[in-house]
Amino acid sequence: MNQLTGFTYDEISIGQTASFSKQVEESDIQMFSAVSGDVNPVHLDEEYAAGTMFGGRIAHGMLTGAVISAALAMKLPGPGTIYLGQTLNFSRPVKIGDRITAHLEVVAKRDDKKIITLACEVANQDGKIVAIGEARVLASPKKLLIDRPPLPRFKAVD
Amino acid sequence: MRQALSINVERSFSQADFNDFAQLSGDNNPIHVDPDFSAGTRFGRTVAHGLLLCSVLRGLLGQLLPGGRLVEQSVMFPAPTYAGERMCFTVSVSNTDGSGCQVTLKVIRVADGTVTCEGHGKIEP
Repeated sequence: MNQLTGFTYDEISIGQTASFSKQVEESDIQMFSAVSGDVNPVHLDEEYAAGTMFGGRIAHGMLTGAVISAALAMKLPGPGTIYLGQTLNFSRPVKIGDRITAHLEVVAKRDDKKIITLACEVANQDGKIVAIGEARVLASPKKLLIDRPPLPRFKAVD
Repeated sequence: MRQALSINVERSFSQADFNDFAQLSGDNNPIHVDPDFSAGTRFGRTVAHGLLLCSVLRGLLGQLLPGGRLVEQSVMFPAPTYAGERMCFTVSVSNTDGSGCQVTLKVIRVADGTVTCEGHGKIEP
């Protein structure tokens, strides 16, 4: 299947769920530092990070947030989704090499404004919660079919 | 009373920034990466990922409070952020107590003052 589609407001029901996973790689950390300007050594400097409470380098929290964003845009509601707001509580560090999965569940629909509220939970490969929060979005008014994005990812540049 | 802590930066995004963030995040929503599609949306053109704004804000928090951990954050996106427009990103300490700092987060379009992202967060040492 080379195309993705999502759900319109009317097609979405309370309790509906979806998930999206991402393996956190070294290149993600490098790119995220470049994009955000967040060059905290806890993300970039192994020696420094080894002496912190985490005992090693950790991923940027917003990378965890970005996986929720991807779940909303790619799965539920899907392509065309407009982000209205997001709360996030970070409970556990994400390490390089971790596979994190965002789980979404529709918890409320506001018919007059067509706003959908989703509970968001991000877990690591051991099933431990790394972040929880709530997203408020508008679903696309019409059903969209988009090409599945290309697989090649960023490569670290020497 | 101590001086209020605040830091801001002006930045504008390009379509290439949106494309890069799409690939990085896995969020390939056409509202961010497909100009033809976006021409037919309520916005009329592509818009920045909300988390791209949050990422820049997080970077600023790292400059304001080096080494601090962001433990929670709540943001709203009241208006779209387009490519090619100067945006002002501001983070400020609003309150401090024994366990950390409350911070406020804001992104405005420089040309007309439109707020495109606002919220708050908590930083712990």
